[in-house]
Amino acid sequence: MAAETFRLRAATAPVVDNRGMPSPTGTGDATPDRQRVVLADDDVLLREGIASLLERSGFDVVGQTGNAVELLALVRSARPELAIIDIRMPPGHATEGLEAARVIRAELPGTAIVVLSAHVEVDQAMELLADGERIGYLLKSRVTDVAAFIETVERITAGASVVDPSLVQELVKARRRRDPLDALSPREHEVLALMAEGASNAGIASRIVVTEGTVEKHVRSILTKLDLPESGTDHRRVLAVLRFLEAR
Amino acid sequence: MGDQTRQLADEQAALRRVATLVARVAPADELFAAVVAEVGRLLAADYARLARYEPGEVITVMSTWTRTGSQLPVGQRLAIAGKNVSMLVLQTGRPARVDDFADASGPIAAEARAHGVRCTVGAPIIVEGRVWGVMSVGAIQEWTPPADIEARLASFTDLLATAIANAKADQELRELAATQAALRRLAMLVARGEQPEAVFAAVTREALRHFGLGTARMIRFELDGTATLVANEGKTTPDVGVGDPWVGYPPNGLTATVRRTGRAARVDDYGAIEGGEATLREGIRSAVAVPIHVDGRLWGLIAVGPGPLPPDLEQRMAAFTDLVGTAVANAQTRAEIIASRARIVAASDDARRQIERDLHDGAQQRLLALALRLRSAVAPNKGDEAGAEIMDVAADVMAVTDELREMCRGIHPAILSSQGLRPALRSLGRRSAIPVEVDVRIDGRLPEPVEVGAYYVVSEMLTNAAKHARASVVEVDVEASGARLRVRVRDDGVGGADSLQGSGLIGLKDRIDALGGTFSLHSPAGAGTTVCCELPTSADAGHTDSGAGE
Repeated sequence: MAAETFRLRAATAPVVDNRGMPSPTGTGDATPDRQRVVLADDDVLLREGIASLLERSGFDVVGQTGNAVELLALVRSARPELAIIDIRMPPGHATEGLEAARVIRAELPGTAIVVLSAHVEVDQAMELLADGERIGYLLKSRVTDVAAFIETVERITAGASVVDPSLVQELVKARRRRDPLDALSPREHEVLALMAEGASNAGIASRIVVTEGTVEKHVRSILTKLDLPESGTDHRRVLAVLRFLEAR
Repeated sequence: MGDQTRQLADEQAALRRVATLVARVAPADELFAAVVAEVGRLLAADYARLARYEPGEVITVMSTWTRTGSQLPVGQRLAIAGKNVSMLVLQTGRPARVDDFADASGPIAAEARAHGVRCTVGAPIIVEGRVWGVMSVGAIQEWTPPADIEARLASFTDLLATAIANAKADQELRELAATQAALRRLAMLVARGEQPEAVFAAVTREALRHFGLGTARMIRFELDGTATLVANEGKTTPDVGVGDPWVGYPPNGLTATVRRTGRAARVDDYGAIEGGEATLREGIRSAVAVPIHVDGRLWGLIAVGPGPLPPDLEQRMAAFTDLVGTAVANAQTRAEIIASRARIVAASDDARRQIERDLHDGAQQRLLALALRLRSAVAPNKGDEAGAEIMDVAADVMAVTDELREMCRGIHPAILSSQGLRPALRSLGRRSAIPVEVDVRIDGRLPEPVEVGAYYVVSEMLTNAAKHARASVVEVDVEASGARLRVRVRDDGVGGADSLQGSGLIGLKDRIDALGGTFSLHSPAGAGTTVCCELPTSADAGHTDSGAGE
């Protein structure tokens, strides 16, 4: 195994008053302090690229590594608000990132986690989401749309759970012989996909340019037509919708 | 006293002469002729006859003797229906007599009456617990058979039985040795990897040599109902060449009968059956065929002829063709393995070529074009347009990465290795252009080659259903139980898929065969296509996860 060094940047050492506290709340861009991030990806070029765009976008990258063991050590010592983890890392190049995410979630449940993967799979998404909120599961290539990526990461650190749109599209577009989705209007289809991606009602409203009240109406109608329970939080809503779409 | 003593001495002398012949292992016809003559003279009969029972209440006359020296036909086959000595002996396994032919019946009795026979006595020849034949004596004139005639006949038939049993055992031994020698030669041929055609010819040659007739042929039944002449050895040449379709055979001839019944068949006279003229013109009046079964399936037949055809020829040939079936199966399996290996290598080469082409025509070309666009975007005269141009290029680069991701999925679905068969098949189903109902009942993971094999069966069938079958739904049913994985994919499309047409399906069969599994395709026109396969999931089918058994 390559003994890759990982680093803790002294210059951006954790701010004392933020340490061990619950993660900042709010919309993200309103947070006065820079969010601290640990980055794990064995592709050094891509990792440096992500680090620099995060730095430019107001994040503080406090540690980088190329494997899961060092990632855990970094997260335990630096206690970042956010860990961005490549799912496939040495030594096995399988799902080491997923295992690491699970450990971080168990030890430090306040840490937001974004898992990046070359391809997204529904079972992995549900496994991740089942461990709690503040979870993102995204295609690696999303990082290239910088604005959207930063917006998504900010939503996740603020408490949202986000699933890559391509995965939602695969689920929604799957053809079924007796499809319960046939009962939905085209607009409701659109709203359902956004719900599955983890958008809040406000987020959906701004995406499809309607009022939040209209979105609420659509959501209620969808839940009734699909016989889904009203869920308390956006996170639980994502999980319920994904589970429904997968089992459909 | 004197009479009785002489009679006894005569009888002892006769028995001694017969016993000497038996001990010398005299030829059967010589022994039989001696026995009937001794018995006829000793018992003061007018005639004596030795006959063998054939299947179906028929006797073959083996030898006769008459007081007058006149010849009675030998080799004649007679039905024994009715009441007569031959029938009584066969039924009871004991000596029998008919004193008055007035109340006897059937063809034998009729013949006896025609010759003026008044009284007949017969005793069984019992070989290995079965009534092998009958020795009978009779008289035309007034004749009082000796009171102990049955016992006296029996002392001769016992000797005969011993001789026949010995001869039979000897004959069987020689035949077994010959069969084994023939099979050893065939096994060598198969082991040397001769082409199936060479093995077929050799097998047919052995059959000819073994049964000593004029001509031997091997005919293979094809799956589409036709037949092929795969070997022809001996004196005559048919109109059909070796390797050509075997056509124009009589509707009740050997080929048609064996195919219909799966059993041995015999034609005694091609002149007497419909469409038999061509065979007759070849000089074949009679022939026998036995089926060849390969892996439990009726594969074809071996025929020999023309006669004289011994009555037990079918049985003797069957013992031979059982083993021939094995030789054919080995040759065929070997040929199939070679063909399937070649196809697997070719398929792998094709796949590499396809990947190279996709990369070259796709990603590589597009990346080159994008690099050019990037260079021109930063040209000095571009000014403010540069930013927008670069953003465009970035978007196109993303499209190329999407394309590469899809290509990777086609080369090997990562979800299969990371998540296992069930998630991989469900994902496959979701991406299909037609609705797919996936039911996967598996606990845990299976050996990787098994998962990959099952995945490609489903993948290929979904592609097929979407492209050719015009199906509205596909059902995928996968279950692991015992040490086997069963996969069934069924669509409701137009059917008519041929496993040998289209490299996709034959490729699947090769893959499943290579894993020691079975692959069957059922695709009648208009009734959908169903593929069933079973794969062994035991450790030797591939590597298993180490957690098994805990």
